[in-house]
Amino acid sequence: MRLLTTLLLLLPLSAFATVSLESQPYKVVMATQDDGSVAEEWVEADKIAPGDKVGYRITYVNTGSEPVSGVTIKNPVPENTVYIMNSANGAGTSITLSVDGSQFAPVSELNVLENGEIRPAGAKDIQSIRWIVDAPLAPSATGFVEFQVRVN
Amino acid sequence: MKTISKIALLTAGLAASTATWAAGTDAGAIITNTATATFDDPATGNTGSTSATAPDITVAELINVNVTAENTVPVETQPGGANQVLEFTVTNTGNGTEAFSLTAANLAGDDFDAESVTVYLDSNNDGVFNAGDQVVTADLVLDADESATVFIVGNIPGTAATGQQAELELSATSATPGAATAAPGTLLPGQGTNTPAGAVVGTAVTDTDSGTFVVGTLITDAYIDLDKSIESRVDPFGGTTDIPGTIVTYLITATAVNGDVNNLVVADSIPLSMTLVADSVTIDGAAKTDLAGDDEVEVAGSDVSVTLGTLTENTTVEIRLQAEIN
Repeated sequence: MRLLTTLLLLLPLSAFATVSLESQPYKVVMATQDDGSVAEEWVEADKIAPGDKVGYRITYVNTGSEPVSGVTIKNPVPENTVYIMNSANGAGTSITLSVDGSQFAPVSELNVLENGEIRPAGAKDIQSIRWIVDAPLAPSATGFVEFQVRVN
Repeated sequence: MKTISKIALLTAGLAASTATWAAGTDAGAIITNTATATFDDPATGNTGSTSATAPDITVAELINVNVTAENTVPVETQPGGANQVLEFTVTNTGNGTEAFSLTAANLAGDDFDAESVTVYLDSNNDGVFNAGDQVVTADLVLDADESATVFIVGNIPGTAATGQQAELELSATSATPGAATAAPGTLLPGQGTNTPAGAVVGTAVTDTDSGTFVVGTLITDAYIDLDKSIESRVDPFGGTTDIPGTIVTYLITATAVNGDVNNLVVADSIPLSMTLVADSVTIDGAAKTDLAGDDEVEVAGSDVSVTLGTLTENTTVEIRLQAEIN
């Protein structure tokens, strides 16, 4: 059994998937730049405490030899965090959000039913983020998408 | 353009999440994030899927504390008052169990300082300072979001004058090594509820609030202000000389001061050289007999006893009696 596992790991990744993902967390801080201005910086994700902002960057790459179409990335908002509105981005992607994890739409079209009242969705209601990569992904092509949350 | 409204039933989820909102995510909680990608697999023609989980984040302890004085107006006290009390609430507004050192101090710029200032914990949680409460001798340990009632207890100097004030401050400071002097946002490695993640100094790693004593008028027990005077003299000739046969009318006034007085009995002894005029005693103008038991007045020989019972604060009773000079 141990031998089999090792053999599987040694096989080329493309044998299982032609798209590969990698996700990395960062701490999002406002840092003073050399010119005195203050800008958002993504730094190593240590000393994360309630109220801090965490940014996730998800990198995708086509590890196969043929173009891949229909690349869709979904990322549920982690437990104990709240999505930061308008923080999702990704060049060449169409971004929608979900309040139930299954149906996705622009945030302006999202509503929630709370205590019998329908109201527009707020940041706390966002359950998941979806990116649809607009164009087919060429072999070895790569890109990334990002979003930010605030730790409760 | 068709607008799609997405509706989810979030009522239960929202209600459940509010309980832990105040202090934030518990120290040591793990934040896990997983992304999933789907795509059209060109090799198989099917939908392929892959996922990636980011390295977990362990939430660090955020150290914060709040001190609130519960006496919103100055607490009235009196010169020489012992064990006078100011009440405070100390709340752990961080996200992990934390120890706080408590200190009380007289503030400068007021009229006087309280003496023998001591910090007590409301050990029996009854909200008032009493015998069950113990002096704070160690750091106060509070869970995230937990509050404790703390008292500053002190003595008021006998020299404090009416209207003077003394302001006292309670401060609570995180006892985590290095926290008190560190800037907000500083990571204290190896400290806190979850030591691998460390503890982060919050914006309120120490907090203070103050209460004030104000000296009111000196309060003593209720007492009777008793006064006796000669109201009139009538001698046998219609004059006012003190000769045998002269009738002297005495006026005794009794006033209750600083509160009601119970079981009040006014006693008067007629001088040897005088004799009480029979049935001459009046109370507020009402005639009374010398007999025992029929009214408030009882006479035994030269001793007059007037049983008034309860006299309410600031009311005055006038007792008149007549005696003849022998």
